[in-house]
Amino acid sequence: MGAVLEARGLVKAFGARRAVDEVDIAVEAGEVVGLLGPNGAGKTTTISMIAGVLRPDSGTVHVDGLDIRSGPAARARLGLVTQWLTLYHDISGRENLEFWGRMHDVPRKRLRAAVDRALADVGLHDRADDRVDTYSGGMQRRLNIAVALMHDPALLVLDEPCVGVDPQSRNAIFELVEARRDGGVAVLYTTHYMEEAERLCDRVGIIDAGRVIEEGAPAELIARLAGGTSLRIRVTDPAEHEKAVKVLAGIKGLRGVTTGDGAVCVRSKGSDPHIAAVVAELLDAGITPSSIDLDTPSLEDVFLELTGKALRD
Amino acid sequence: MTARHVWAAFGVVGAARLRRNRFVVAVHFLLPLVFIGVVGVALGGYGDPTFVIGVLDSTGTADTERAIATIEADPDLRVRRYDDDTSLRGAVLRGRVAVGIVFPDVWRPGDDVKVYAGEGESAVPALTLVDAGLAADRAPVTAAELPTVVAVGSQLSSLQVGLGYAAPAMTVQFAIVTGLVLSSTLVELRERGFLARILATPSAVRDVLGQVGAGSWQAAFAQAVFLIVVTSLAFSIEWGDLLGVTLVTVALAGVAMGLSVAFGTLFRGTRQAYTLGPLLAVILGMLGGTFWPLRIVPAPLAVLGHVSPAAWAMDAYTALEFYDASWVDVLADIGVLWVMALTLVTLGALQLRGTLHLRRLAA
Amino acid sequence: MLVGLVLPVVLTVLIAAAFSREESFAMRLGITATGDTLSARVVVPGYAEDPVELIPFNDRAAASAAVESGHVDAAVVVGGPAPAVIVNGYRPVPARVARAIAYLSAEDAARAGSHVQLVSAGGKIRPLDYFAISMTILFLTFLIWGAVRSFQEEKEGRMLARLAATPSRPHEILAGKYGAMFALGLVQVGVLIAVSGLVFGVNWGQPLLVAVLALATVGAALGVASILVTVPVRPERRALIGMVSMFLLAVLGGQFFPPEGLPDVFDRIARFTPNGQALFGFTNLAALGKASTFGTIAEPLAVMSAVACVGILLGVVSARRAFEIGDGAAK
Repeated sequence: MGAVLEARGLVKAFGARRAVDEVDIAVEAGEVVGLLGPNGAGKTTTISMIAGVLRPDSGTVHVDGLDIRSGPAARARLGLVTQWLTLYHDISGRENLEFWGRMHDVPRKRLRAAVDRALADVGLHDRADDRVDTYSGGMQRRLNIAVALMHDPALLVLDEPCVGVDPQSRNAIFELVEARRDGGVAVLYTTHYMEEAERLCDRVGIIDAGRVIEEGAPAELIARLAGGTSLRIRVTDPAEHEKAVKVLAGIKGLRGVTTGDGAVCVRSKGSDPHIAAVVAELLDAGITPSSIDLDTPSLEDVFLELTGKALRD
Repeated sequence: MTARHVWAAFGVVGAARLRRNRFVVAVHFLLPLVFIGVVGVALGGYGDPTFVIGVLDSTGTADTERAIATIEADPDLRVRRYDDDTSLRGAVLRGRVAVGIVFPDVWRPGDDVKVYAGEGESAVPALTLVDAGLAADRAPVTAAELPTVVAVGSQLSSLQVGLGYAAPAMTVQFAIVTGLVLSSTLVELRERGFLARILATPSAVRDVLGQVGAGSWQAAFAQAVFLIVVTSLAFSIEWGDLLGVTLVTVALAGVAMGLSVAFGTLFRGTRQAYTLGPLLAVILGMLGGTFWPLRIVPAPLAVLGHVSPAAWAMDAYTALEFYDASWVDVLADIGVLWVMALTLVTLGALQLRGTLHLRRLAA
Repeated sequence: MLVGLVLPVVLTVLIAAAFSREESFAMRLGITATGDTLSARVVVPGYAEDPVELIPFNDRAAASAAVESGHVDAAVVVGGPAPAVIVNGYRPVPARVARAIAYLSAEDAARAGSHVQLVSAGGKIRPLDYFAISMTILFLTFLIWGAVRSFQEEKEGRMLARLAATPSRPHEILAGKYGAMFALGLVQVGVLIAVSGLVFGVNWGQPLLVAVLALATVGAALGVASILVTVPVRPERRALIGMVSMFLLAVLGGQFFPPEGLPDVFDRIARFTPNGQALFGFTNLAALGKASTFGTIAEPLAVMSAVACVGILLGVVSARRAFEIGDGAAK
């Protein structure tokens, strides 16, 4: 089966600055692909081109095999959740969905059912007839997502849907995305929260300064690029630091031993942190570890490794 | 592809807002009626051909009362009494009265009175009549000596004349207000990212723009028709040739549409539409003769006034109402109104393209 | 800046220009002189310049037909035993001019003034003076309305509650707010008085009385805005309702029309509007000049002060409540 979304060689420059530079993205049905990068990396520009909102300087976007710029049929297969709220605040949630349902050309006969289902999907059924300005921020975010669901898109594009959302709404959004994915929808998801990407995404593309610099499944990227677990070992007598460094350097499967902040730090080469060996070897050498902290690597570390920058600068 | 679903979409929002804002909507229809009444009464005053005579009579003797009664009896004069010299003088200076008569403490018929005169056109003829009224020592001016007034055409009271002018004037004024205030629809779509979001739907932005314009057209047209019908029934105003009035009203609503699209791309924030909009509308109205007839203003200003669509609409409405013009006679005005309307729409659309960076290929 | 200072000046010029020929309307006047030949210069001394175009007719019927068809604005029949003015009911302004001309030409014009000691009232308020005053008041109400509306939004947006958490006391905050709005209005009025005086030569009258009246006018504008802002609607609608109310008050107060022809009813209505009172007060000060006394502005002062007190009191009470709600939310 071919990819639902196929974007190739997308380029967009604003003046002299290339906001997006030769970006390729493919998303298959039933797959969630994340676009992970800091603010200003080019995520929203990329998504805008994919959704047909912004015309690329070069490159193509196909949704279900149709060029996104070929006409309404291609855009009818796409559901876009914007970062900003596209809601009328002085009318009800249901009326907002009816508006957007119509804009997506949902036939009148199906509209009511589609609106009801979208309301149920985002958990707003009981508040459907209240004015939107009486909703909490999280509820408004969920309604903003429902806007993109009524026409059953084959591709769902979400641009930072969880910015400023409370944990409860956030979970609801995750479950919704997972449910749609399980229903065979292709999902493209941008975020600068690594936890979101790790939880939701089958694959992530890491974007920085307009270029996708790495791509792969989160676990694979972490294993490949961020190395293993880091261990932070404190010993009872700081005078024994030098000795501890020597002992740890001799353990197979560990690398990069350093000292600092009153502790000895070391990384495992693979996913196994070799805790048993560390404890045993230190005790054998007459060193008593007072604490060992484990730090499992994340996409944050991957990003740091790749760019030398933190995600949330 | 038809834009029917776009219309249906905005229909949902429009209906929802109408339901929730019935009072405000009613105000939009009733308020112009209030303005027609007030402006009509005001303009009617200018049509009242009688001269107002200010009188300060601090003693109130039988002689002065008789003299005042004589003046008052003249159908061409009206008496307004004042309590002190300063107020009377102020009234003369402000033009509120043609002349101001001050009776001295002791006055008998034939004695002189002090009369304050302003510099208005009314002073001398009014003085002539006042003098006639005060002259007890000679025969009063006979009716035959004074010109009689013969009115031709419809016989209307000054109030009717005022209302007759105010009705089309305020219909034009409020169509422009409505157009400018409804620019808020486009401002909202533009500034809150709706338009960009709509680009990702099967709907085309030009359809949305068309719908926004059509919505303003509908609102302005409905308002104008309401005002025409109500003023016809309630104030007995004869608007003239039905086809002509219809065509002018359609074109006037077109101008409202043009204003809503053009200013919808210019205003920043809906609040500007609500505050600057009416202000701008009043200026366009004043230029175009909605508060006073352009025929009374100096010629250069009347020419300048025709930059405002209000002037063309007023020319057409007044020709139909007052001069029995037919729809053919006002076709030129209607044409200019449409040129203005379509120019505004085009400017708005071009401006929108510029601000949205809509470089998307045509769908 | 644009709305506060430039627009009033532009509108003043515009309206004043519109009425600058109020005594000599451009018109086409039919003349039928029976008996004596008639010299236009004799009949229409005040109109000889250019705005009145005299078109002779041989008989009354022809003149009448011309009026009815709109070929001429009005006609006068003079010089004979039955002088007449032929007017079209729809053309009040030319009709009035025509009548004035006909009266002038009547035989007894010669007798005018025999029992009258004519005293000049001391000049006249020009349209420019009148509308400079009117527009100053109008735009003052707009400016103050804008300020009061944003203050209301601060109340609703819990800004006041936030301010209450600072060391400032509520009454200090309120005094600061109202003081600032008052000062803003005074500055605008002051600038417009200065500009209209320098540019258009508008003489506003005795400085001390003008200053006192300006204070009351700013207070009344604050009062009206504070009352209007309590109408319970959403902020966007409030902006519209405010603008419309300001215009309605302006029309009722007679601010858009020169005073000459306004019906008497406007005198009564305008007395009940603070802006009408302000207009009355300022125009009398300008008209009477040195002859004006405190009594000239007594009524405007009383009415506007009352409106100011009621409105500001209302605003302060509702602001107090906004402080209290803030406390409640904090707990």
